[in-house]
Amino acid sequence: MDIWKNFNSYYADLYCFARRMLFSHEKAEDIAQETILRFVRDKSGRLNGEPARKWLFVVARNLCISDLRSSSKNREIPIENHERASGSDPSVDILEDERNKKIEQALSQLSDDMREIIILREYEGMNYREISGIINCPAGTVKSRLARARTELQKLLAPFMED
Amino acid sequence: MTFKAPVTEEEWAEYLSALIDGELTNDEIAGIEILLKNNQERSAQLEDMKSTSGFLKKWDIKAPLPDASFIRDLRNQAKPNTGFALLRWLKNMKLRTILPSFSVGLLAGIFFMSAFNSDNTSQNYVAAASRYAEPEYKLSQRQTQKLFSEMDAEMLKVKILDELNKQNIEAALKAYKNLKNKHPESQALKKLKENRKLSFIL
Repeated sequence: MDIWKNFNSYYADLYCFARRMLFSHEKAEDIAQETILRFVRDKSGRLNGEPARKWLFVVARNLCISDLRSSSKNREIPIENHERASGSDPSVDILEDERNKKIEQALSQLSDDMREIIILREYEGMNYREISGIINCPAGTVKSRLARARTELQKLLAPFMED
Repeated sequence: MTFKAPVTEEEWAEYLSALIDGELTNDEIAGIEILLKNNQERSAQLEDMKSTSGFLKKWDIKAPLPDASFIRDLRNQAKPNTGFALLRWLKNMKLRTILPSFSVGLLAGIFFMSAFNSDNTSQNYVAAASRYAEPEYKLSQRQTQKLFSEMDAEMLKVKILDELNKQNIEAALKAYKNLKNKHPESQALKKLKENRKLSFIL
């Protein structure tokens, strides 16, 4: 089965997507695991030509949206400490941590529908057609939301990019 | 698709964003490149957009490896449903709930086995168990004598019945007298007396 060959890659992609959507390591792990479990339980061997990656991202995205809706009332974005590679230069790590926090904060200020599109495009490398298939909206909407998201991020990140 | 020049801020942003992503048609690329050549402000906007895109990508997340328990669950989920009904039932029961009870039971069993077999460490548990299964009777001297007396009387009774079957009346009577003298209180003698078929002979 396709998923076993690319298991680690799928798991990592789903984890990273959920982590950037929800800003939580625990939630990202739960969503990545739940998505793959659902695939194996419900969809195994019955894809009928549908790409596994698309199906996985649709489920992961829906789980993220559910989580965001359930926690929307008292929503607070936890900015977590970022992982550091052992043996690396601590001063470089601190700078990278700071930069990552700024990016995380900027992303957290986008609306959920803009954030999901920017994540799918910038981090998952999907084209507009793939993104529209996952979020179930026309490619034209993807195009305009992505442009707005980039414009907003440009304003939010400009002060830090000059360094 | 023919190129329609952007006018509003939103249209410009959409074109530039799509240009970065390689989502424009050849006509659109050609048209927007002509416009950008003569427009430094929009060219700068494009460069800013590219920089922002590059800056965002620097947030690299290292995904952890999935838990071993998750992989195990996944493999179990992926197995075809071909087991026996009992095995499926056991599988459906949450192992997490069964395992602690099973572990406690197992530990208790090991503890009691070792306690009962404190005199050895590696002897055969079956032999040890059978030894404990056999009850030890301690009889008094009187009880022992009575037991042997009953056994002897039973043998004489069998001999009497055997002689009677052979129509050897004299031998049967001799054995009967012997039984009466030696074991007058025995159960074997009582049973012989109670047998009405033999009463005319004995």
